[in-house]
Amino acid sequence: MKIMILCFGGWSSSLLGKKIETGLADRGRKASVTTCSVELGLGQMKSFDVILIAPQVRHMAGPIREAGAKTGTPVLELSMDEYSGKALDKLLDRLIAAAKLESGN
Amino acid sequence: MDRLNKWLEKSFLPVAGKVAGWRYMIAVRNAFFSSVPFVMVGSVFLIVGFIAIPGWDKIVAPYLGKILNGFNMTMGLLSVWIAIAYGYSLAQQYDLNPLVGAMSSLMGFLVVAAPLKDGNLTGTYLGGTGIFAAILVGTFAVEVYRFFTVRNITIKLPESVPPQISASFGALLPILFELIVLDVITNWLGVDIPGFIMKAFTPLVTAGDSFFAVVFIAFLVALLFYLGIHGWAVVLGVIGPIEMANIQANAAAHAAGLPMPHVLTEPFFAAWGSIGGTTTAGALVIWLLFCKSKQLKQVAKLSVVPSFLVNVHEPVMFGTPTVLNPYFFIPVVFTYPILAAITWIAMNVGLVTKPFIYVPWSTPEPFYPWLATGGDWRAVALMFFNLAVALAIYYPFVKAYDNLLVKQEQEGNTESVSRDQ
Repeated sequence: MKIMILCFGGWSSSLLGKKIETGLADRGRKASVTTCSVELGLGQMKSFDVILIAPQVRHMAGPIREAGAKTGTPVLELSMDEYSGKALDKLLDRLIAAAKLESGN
Repeated sequence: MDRLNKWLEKSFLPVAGKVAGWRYMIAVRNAFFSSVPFVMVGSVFLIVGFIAIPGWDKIVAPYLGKILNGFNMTMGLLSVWIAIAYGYSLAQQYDLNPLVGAMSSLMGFLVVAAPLKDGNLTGTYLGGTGIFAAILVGTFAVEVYRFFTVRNITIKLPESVPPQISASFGALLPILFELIVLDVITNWLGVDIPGFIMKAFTPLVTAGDSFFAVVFIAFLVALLFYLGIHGWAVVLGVIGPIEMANIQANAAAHAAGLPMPHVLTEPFFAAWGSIGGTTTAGALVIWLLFCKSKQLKQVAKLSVVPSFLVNVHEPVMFGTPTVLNPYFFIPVVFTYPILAAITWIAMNVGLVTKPFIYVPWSTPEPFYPWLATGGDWRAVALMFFNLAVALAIYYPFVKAYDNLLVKQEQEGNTESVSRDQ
């Protein structure tokens, strides 16, 4: 599963990215997480299976969802607790569900 | 407090979203980000040329011109990078060929801003002073491209022609139109577009360096962070180009031995305000390390490295959380503008050198203020002073919140309810 987290500089989300990769691996799924700023990520969406919007850039959810609709990529908005890792399991559930819907796994 | 939170979320936030989501703002931010590596590289040469280590300037003096070439060919060409990246991003947003967008944006910019003189391109507006012209001309270039493409106004070639060739003809008409318009205006009618733009924007740029402006910007950014929105992501579309142009102007003035005109630059806010992260979250993290509640101790542990190594404060912002947390409204929203006020005063009375070297915002303090001012130790002292002010402001609120959480944790314990989700 190729996941992209959209945030500001890309660094703040890399901590979460590692948690997601480990968490999904524990559930028997291979995943790679890339982080990117919203502006640069808008043009790369078709290379990913799921797009996650960090809460601090949720004001850009509109344009991100539009771009996701164009490439058919599911877009999930992260809550504060999901982003900080407090609600990691819930986030992993959502990711797996989104991937299932897309590929019909 | 609750009503304030609700109003901020319902009325203020959507406005911020609309502004930030405007495709031209996205393109400006994109251009800004794309130019950063070149600006940083240019800064390396500036540091080598000007770092205030005793005696260094004498060693460097015979080579200074050659050393500054690295700066001149990067920062000195700032508008060129902006023109390219802006055109690329705007075209990409319209699902047009982004390379064509970039190249026609650059072509238009050069026609308008770098007229030929004795066979050479004029360099006056290729640095920081041409940024607004680059954005305006880039907009024109891509909008023309889009207009022609959407209405299918192209030269139609016979079916038998290979696709690559007919594709290149697709961009021909908009580029021709763009060139004719800009050439006539600049070359035949003699209108100095970048000069005119400079004059029009000068009051705005000057106003940007005012006390009110820097305090207001800091306040706005901090308020957005209180809402859990990245304040700089919203504001950078408008402020970013001005800040870049300002720091380049400061560097050029410094290189020429002239007084530096600007304070509104990225290091102004980042080095002396974003200590440990925007809203001076570093002060919060420091106090969290002394907190008694288990939850806050945990947040402190997770936040120390991001805050103090790379000035990233999302962990402490979302972990405490400070977002929409009434306990933290005052310190989160008001510390940052107060520090901006202090820094503005210090720089404008000459206590601290104005920033003229661009280093990444993730540069750990205290290196950040030292590098950004070419090695002014007083800049570092100011940073520590600001941190002390921030610590004083944050203290009572962190203490009150810690007391609340300790109480909740104790009550939770007696009911034997686990607080972990």
